[in-house]
Amino acid sequence: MPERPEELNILVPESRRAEIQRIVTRRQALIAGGGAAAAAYLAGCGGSTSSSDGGGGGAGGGASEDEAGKPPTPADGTVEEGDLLLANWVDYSDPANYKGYTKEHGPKVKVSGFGSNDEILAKLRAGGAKYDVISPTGYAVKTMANLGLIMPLTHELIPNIKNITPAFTETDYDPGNKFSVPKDYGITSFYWLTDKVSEQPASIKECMELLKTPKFKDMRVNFLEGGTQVMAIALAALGYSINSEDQAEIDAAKQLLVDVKPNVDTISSTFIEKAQRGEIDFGMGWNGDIRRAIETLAKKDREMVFLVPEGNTEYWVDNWVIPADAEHPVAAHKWIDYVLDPAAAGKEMNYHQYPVPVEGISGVKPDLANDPVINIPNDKIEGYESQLETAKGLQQRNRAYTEFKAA
Amino acid sequence: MAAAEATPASAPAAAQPRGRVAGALAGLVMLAVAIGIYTQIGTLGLGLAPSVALLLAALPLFVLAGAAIRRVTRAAPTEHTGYPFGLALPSLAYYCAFFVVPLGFLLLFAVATPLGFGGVEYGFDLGNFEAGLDRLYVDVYLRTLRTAAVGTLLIVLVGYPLTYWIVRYAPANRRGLFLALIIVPFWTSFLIRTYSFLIVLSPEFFLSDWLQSIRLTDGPLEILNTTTAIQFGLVYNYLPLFVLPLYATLERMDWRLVDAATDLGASQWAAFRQITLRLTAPGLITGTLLVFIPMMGEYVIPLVLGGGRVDFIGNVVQRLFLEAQDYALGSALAVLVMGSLSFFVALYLYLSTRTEQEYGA
Amino acid sequence: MPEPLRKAGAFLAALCLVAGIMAVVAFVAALAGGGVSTRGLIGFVLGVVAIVLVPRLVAVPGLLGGFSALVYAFLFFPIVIVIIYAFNSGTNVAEFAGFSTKPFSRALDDESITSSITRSLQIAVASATIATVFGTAAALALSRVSRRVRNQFDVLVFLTLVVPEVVIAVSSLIFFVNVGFELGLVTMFLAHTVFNASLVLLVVRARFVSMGSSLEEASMDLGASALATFRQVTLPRLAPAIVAGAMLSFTFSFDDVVISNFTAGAGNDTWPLRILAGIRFGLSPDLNAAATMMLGVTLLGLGGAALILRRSARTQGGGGLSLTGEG
Repeated sequence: MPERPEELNILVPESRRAEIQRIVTRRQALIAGGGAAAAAYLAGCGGSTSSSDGGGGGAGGGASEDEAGKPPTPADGTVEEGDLLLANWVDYSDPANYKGYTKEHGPKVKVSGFGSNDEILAKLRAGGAKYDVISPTGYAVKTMANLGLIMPLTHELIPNIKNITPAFTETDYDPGNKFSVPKDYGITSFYWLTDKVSEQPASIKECMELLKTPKFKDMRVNFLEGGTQVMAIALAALGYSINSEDQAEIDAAKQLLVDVKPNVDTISSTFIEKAQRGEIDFGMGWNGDIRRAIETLAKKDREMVFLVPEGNTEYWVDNWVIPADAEHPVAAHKWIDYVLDPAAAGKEMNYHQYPVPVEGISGVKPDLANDPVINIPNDKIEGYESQLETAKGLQQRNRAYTEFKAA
Repeated sequence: MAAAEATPASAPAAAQPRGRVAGALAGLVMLAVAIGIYTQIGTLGLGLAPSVALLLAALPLFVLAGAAIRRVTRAAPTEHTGYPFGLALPSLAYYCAFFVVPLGFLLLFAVATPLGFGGVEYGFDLGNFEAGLDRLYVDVYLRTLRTAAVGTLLIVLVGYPLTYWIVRYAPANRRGLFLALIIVPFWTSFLIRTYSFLIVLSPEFFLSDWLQSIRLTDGPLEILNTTTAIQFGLVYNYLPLFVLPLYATLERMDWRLVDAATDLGASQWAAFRQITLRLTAPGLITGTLLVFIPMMGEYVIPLVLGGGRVDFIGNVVQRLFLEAQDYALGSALAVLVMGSLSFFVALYLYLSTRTEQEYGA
Repeated sequence: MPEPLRKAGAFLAALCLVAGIMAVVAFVAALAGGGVSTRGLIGFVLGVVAIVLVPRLVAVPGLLGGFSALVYAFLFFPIVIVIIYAFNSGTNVAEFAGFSTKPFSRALDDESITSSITRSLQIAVASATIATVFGTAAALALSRVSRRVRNQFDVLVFLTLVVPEVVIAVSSLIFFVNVGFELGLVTMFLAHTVFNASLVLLVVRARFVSMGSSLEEASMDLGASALATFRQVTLPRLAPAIVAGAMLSFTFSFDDVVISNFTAGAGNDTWPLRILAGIRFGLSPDLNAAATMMLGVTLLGLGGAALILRRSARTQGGGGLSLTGEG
C-alpha cells in the first residue's frame, strides 16, 4: 500500500464537463485522427511492413519488436506499490470508479488522455510511456497484440471476467479475451427527425435507398467524416462485409455514395451540436451521441429516432488492455477486475452513456438501461461487424472516399 | 559594385557556363550524399541530441562543398564589407538540414514503392506519379486552381487599394499602426477566426435575418458549406500575406513622379496606370504569387468552411498522409502540385531576387 | 464639412461603390448562369449608377480611406464576434444565451487548454529566438555581399516562403520519421523555424539596407571596434526591425496549424491543434474565451513592446516602429 499521498494527477479535462456533451470526444477524435498505424496481419498480407526497416512510421529507436511482457501469474497476486498509470479517451471513465478502486486496492489512479488509436499506438511503439492500462479500440487491440505491445491477460487475476456478455467473449479481433476485455461498445447507424422523415427504414440498405429519393434534396443530411467510416456504411448497405477488399465491391459502395452525394449537405464530425438543435434532418452517427441529442430534442417536443438496424452495420468496441512494459501489472489486472464488477460497470455506463457488455450490470439509470438505442439485443449485435484495418483496405477506402468527396 | 563585378567577369568568361553546370551537378551530389547520411542516421538508433549534433556537424561539409563549388565556377570573391560571411552559415546549414533535405526525402518517397502504413521500399518506381495523374486527382486540382485563382484575384482587388491608401494617404506617423492593425486579427487563432465565420454566415446569426429583411436574399443564408464560404475564408486569411510585401514595394515608390505626371496634365487614373502600376508591378506580382502558391496547398479552410463537401488538393494530400498513410502517393501528389506551380515559383523567385537586388545594392 | 462627418461620408460612399460593383458582378454572373431576376436587374442598374456617380462625388483619397475602413471592419468583425461569444453563457456557440464569464474560468481550469497553450508558447518563443538570431546574422552577412552570392542564398530564402505549407509539413514528417526523431515539441520547433528565419532575414535586411552604412563607417573611422560599432550604432537602429521579425515569427509559430498537425506526434497538442480537436465537437465558448485571453495578452505584450521601443527610439533619435525600415 502506498503510504505517501501522491496527488491524483488527472491529465484529462474531467473538471470541464460532467455534462454529457463532452463524451463524444473519443469517437469523433477517432474519425478525425484517422486510421491506425497498424502493421499487416501475420496471416493476411504476408511479410513485415512496418517498424524496423527505414521507412515505417515511428521508426528508429523504440521498443517496436519487444517480446510480450511477462504477465503476472496468479501466485504473485499482490498489488504493487505506486500509482496506476491509466491512459484513456478523454472524459471516458467515471472518476468515482477511480476513487473506488483506490479505496479497494490502494494505488491512486493517474490518468492520461489520448485522442486517437494512432496516438496510443505510437506511444507504445516509441516506448517509455509505461502505462499500466489503456483503452484502445478493437482493431488496434489486434495490432498491438501482433506487435507484442500488450501482454496476455492472466484470467485468474480477473475473476469478474465471467461477467462479460457472451457475444463479446469471442470477438473478431481478440477471441477468448486473451489480451483484452471490452469496456464499452457502440454502433454506427442513421438517425432522423420524425417530423421531417415519415418513412421508417429498418436497415442501412433502406436508409441509403431513401437518401437517393428526390425528397431528400431539401432535407439537411449529414454524413460522418472519414473513409473507413463512410465506406463501412456503404458496404453494409450493399450487403457486403465492411472489411471487404474486393475491388468490385468497393467500387459498388463508392458508386452508391456518389449517387447519394447530391442529397448530402455536410460531411462532418462536428454534427452533434447541430443535431441537438434539430438542424439535421437525417444523418449518420453513433448511438451514444445520438441518444443525447434525442434527449435534448425531446425536451423541445421534437422526436428524433436512432435506427438499430437489421442486417449489418459497423460496431466498435473499446477495450481495456495492459501494455507489455507496464510496471504495475497486477494493479492493472485489479483495475480491470474492478470495472467488470456490475456496480462499477453501471457507474461507467451512466457516465459515458455507451452500453457496457457486463451481465447483471446494476445501478444503471432506468432510462439509459431500457433505451433500445443503448440496450441492443444480442441477436442484432451478432449480425454486426467490427472494422479491421489493413494497408490495402485503407488505400482502397481512401481512394473511394476521395472520389466521393470529389463528386 | 559594378567595378568589382567587371574584373572577374572578363577573365574566365568561357569557363562560366561549364562551371555552372559543374556547380549544379556538385550541388546535386552533395544533396544525395546528405540524404544518404540522414537516412542512415535513423538506423543508427541514436537519440535525438546526438542525431542533431551529427546533422549540424555536417555543416563543415556544406561549407567545404560550397567553397569547392565556388572555386569550380570561379565566382567572384565575396565582398564582406563589414560582416563576415560566416554569420550566414547557421541559416544556411539550417535551411539545408531542415528544408532542402526534407524536400529531397519527399522526392525520394515520390518515386518509392508504397508498403502501406507509412512504409515504403526505396527504389525508382513511377507508379505513384501514374496514380497521381489519375482523372480524380486532376479534377480536384483543377477545382482548387479555380478557387485559388478567384481568391487571389479578390485579394488583389481588396488589398491593393488598402495598401495604397496606407502608403499614400494615411497619416505618416500612424502608418505602422495601420499595418499592425492588419496583423492584429492574426493574434487570435486562425482556426477560431475561421470558425467564427461559421457563426457569422450561419442561418441563425443576425446577418441572415437582416439580409432577408432587406430583401437581399430569399431565404435563410445558404452560403455555408459552399465554395463561396471558402472564398471568404481564403481572402480573410491570406490578405496580410499580400499586403505586407506590397507595402514594402509601394513604400519605396517615388510619388513625385505621379505628381509630375498629373501636373503635366495626365488624369489620375492614367498616372496610376502608367507610372505607379508599372513601377510597382514586380512587387504586385510577387505579392500575388506569395498568396496564390500557398493557397494551392490550403486544406484547413475548406475543411472548416466547406462542410466537408469540398475537397482541395491539399485535403487529398493530407488525407493520404494522415488517414490512408500512403506516404508514397501523397509525396507524388505533392511533387506534382509543386511541379505544376514551378513556373509561378520560378517567376516569384526571379522577381523577388531582382527586387532585393535593386533595393539592396 | 466637419472631419468625422466627412469620414463617415467617405465610408458610406465606399460601401455604396463596393455594393454597386458586387451587384453588377452578381448580375453578370447570373446572366451567364441563366438565372436573372428582377431583383438582380434592379441591383445591376443601381450598381452602375453607384459606379459612375460615387467617384465623381468623392475624391479618391477619401474613397480609398472609406474602402480601407470597410476592409478593417471586415477584418475585425469575426474577432469581435469571437470576443462577444466568449461571454456566452450557453454551451452552444451560435446561440447567445446570456452574458457570463464562466467560459473564462472554465477555460483556465481546463488542463487540455492550458497545457496546449503552454506548449505553443514554448515552441513559439524558442522558434522566434533561434529564427531571430539566425535570420539577423544572415541578414547582416548578406546585405553587403556580392550580388551573385546573395541571389543564390535568396533563392533558398524565398523558396521557404513560397512553398505551400502542406508540402513543407509532409516533407518534414517524412524526414523526421526516417531520421528517427520522435515527433513532438522539438520537431515542431524545428519545422517552424525554417519559415521564421526567412521572415526575420527579409525584414531585418530591408531595414538594414535602407539604413545605409554611413553612420557605421563614420563610427569605424572614429576608431570604434567592429563589435562596439555593431553594439552601439547598428543594433539600436536595427532593433525595431529585429523585434518586428521576432514578433512575426512568434505569431506564425503560435498560430500554425498545418505544420504542427503533421509533426506533432502523439499527445503533443499545441493550441491550434487543441482548437482543431475542439472544433470536431463544435466550438465552445471556452475556446473562444481562451482565444480572447490570448488576444488580450498578446495585445498587452505588443503594446508594451511598442511603448518601450518608442521610448528608446526617441532617445536614439530615430522614428517609430516600422516593419520595413522607415524612420
